[in-house]
Amino acid sequence: MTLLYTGLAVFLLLNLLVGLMRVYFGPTAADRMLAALLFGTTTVAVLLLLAEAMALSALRDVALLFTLLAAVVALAFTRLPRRFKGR
Amino acid sequence: MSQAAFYALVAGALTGIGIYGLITQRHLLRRVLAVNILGSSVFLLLVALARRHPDYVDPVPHAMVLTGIVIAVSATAFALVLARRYHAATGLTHLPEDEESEEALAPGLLNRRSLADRRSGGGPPPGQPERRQGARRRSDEDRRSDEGAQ
Amino acid sequence: MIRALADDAVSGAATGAATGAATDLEIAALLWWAFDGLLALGLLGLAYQVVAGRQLFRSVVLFIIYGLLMAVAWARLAAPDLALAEAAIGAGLTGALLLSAYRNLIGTDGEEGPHAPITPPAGAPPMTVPRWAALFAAALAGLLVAGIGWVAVGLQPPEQTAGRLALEQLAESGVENPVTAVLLNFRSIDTIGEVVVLFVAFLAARVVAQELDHAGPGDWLRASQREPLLVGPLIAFIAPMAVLVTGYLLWAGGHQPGGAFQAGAVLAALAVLLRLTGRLRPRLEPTLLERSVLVGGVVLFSAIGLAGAGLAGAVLEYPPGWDYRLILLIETVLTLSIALPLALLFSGSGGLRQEVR
Repeated sequence: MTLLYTGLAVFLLLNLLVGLMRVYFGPTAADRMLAALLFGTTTVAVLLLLAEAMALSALRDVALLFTLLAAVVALAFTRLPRRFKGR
Repeated sequence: MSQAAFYALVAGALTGIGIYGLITQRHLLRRVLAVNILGSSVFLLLVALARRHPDYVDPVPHAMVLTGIVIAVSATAFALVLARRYHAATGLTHLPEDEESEEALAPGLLNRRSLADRRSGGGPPPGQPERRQGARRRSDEDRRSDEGAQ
Repeated sequence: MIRALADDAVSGAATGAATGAATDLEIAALLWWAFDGLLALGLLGLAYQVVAGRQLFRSVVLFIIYGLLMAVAWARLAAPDLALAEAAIGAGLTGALLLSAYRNLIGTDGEEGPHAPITPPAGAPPMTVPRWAALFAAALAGLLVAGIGWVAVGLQPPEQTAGRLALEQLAESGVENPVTAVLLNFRSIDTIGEVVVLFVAFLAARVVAQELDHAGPGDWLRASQREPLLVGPLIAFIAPMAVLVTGYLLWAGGHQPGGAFQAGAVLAALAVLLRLTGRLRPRLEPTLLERSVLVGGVVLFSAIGLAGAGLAGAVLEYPPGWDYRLILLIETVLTLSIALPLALLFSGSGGLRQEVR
């Protein structure tokens, strides 16, 4: 079972790295930001898998924090003037 | 190669990237980012060293890095406040010592000022807080562009 | 080579395992190396793009993602305390700080103007340091750090380290989490110093900051533009949860990863959220309550530390039997003393007041 969790974690990490293309190419700022928010979710999943695979239950708390605070960055982004969000 | 050695090497590479960015970039925000990467590379080195013992994880580097992370964010926040103040006072986002010579700075500053004045339709009277003007100007432009988008 | 890596990684766990299970362990070790390798690749690629990429906004977003991967790296290095701090600070504070600063700095100086020019404008000078010199300095610094790491990892670790000592004396510290024990008992002088640094950063920011309204909700406060519909329910849900998590982390710090720093960062993130949405408004001068919270952590910590000189025989030592209670008391006050300066640094103001709606 641990093997499966580790494998899934590797897969998700690979997923995240490939997904960085969307942040890199954009084209709009909203695309980049949404991709970053999605990676927050991926990180939560990776941390939950690591918590099982490494037998470190505290990593679940880390996942909890990321879930709780994801909205802060999103809100800070929406406060950018609109003309800068277009690109 | 152990995991600790691997992450120590990664920390070294991150240090190189941070230093490179710090030297080559002039934009203040980018420099703050480069310093943050530099800091995180040192943290990574310390935590990797905490992992080198075969039978336990050393808690002392963890405690040091924990205080380090909090101090890094407070220093970042202060640097950004400083950058904003500098930007409000000069309209620049890079430091004057990055200019090739002192003479190069003055005309650049003048050009920038006159450009800003033209855009806002007349410069602010001396002694007037310039930033307010700029803020209002920007929000006006926002509204215009919003209307255009609708 | 890969086989050697795998053997190295599992050498501890594989001894005594059956030969059939050994292959499983080898696969696991390979997977872990793949994970670490991908993580390192991601960290290095992101770091390079952050410092050298062309677009500033992209660099800011990539730095936020860099923080996410850093938290995973702390997790992989068995440092959940740091992963918690990185999560609370990276997701709650750094991102919002950088985006707010970006909002203030854009549009006037070349790099990210409304019509981003391809060539740098006249005001932005060309690079003053030749590229080869920068690369040389970077390579030198990188080799130095990597060399220190490589040598230190390769050395025979000393028998008696501060960390082992801390773990051995954990039972006497009053708490079960070794990192909390180091922070609040064995090396509490460092923690006092750290809170002082936070306070000084706040004071320094007070000296240079002049604007009151640069981190707020912007045009949501205008009567013509109401705030988006979802913001209200979002805040109503997140605010109590954040307070709950703050309390949980504070309490958890005694026996598992967590503690005053992480709890303070979550509380500060909540304040940032409220400030961004206009629930909290800036105030020029801190109130008496805010002033006492700002210095409360240092004062209480120092007072208890000095009292230790009389009651326990040494400065910063707790009277026997009182460790846990005193540590919990100090941590509670420290949480507030860490959260408030961080929130005020974000807000760029002396104090905060509740918005009357």
